[in-house]
Amino acid sequence: MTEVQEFQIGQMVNVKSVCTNKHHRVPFYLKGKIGKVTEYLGLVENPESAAYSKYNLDVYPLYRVCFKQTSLWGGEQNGEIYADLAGKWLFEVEV
Amino acid sequence: MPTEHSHGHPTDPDIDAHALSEGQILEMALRELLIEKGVVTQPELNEQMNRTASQSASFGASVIARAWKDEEFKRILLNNPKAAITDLGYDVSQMPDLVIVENKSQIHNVVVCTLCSCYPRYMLGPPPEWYRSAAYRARIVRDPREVLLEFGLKLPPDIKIRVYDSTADLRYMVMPLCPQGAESMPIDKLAALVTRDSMIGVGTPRLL
Repeated sequence: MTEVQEFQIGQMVNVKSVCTNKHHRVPFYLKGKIGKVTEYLGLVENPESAAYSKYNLDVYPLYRVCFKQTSLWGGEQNGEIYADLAGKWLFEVEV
Repeated sequence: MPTEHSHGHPTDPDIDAHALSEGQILEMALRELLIEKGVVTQPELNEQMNRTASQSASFGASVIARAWKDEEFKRILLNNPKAAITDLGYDVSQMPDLVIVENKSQIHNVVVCTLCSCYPRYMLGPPPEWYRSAAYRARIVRDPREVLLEFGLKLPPDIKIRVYDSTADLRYMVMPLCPQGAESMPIDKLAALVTRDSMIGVGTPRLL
């Protein structure tokens, strides 16, 4: 697992569209969607282990990602949604 | 005086007049074990319960009001909320990390946790029931403008709405705009304008 910052501010990323029964913190409505990295938030404990009381096993880089309302739902709303997502759930996209 | 009571009196059941749930039994067993084994003491538990019960949005409101009056404090607060709050003399070292997002004339922020119900309790007290409801969590990300309207907050169409979904390790709250005409009020009067809802983002402070 990557333990360093792997995405840059301003970079466009895609959220992996993967289902898992593990305790992860990626809302379904963002899976498969494209957003822009707006901030690097440092390393945090991986909830997929911590949820089972396995602490300090692994950490992952956390990013704040901005999604346009229109890219999630279509329509014409000019709003944005920000969510904090783990690097392991993101991959780079060409724009 | 009649010797017999001729009518019945309906009585509501006492709030604890029901069988204990499995969760309650588990909690009691765990609590008693922790005390018996000396991991925690009953007074420590009582103190923590009192601390939790006494948290309220008035603390968050006082911090926001101070930021409105003091540009330097506001700068530090937005940059590193826990450090700014520590500087005020409060111990928040054990609390989750906090992000305060500032409303601007053209940007309105609102907070949700779609996955569960993450909420900065140490700033805002216990969350309102609706914050934890599936309806709020599902709809505020789908159609924020309409949901805000239902809260009585009508935003002009040119104001951009930013929804912060607290998905991970950070807690979010909103720094609302100081109402026009209130800037010269003293901090305690300003703090009274800062409602819990305005710090979640489903309301705005208004002059009383």
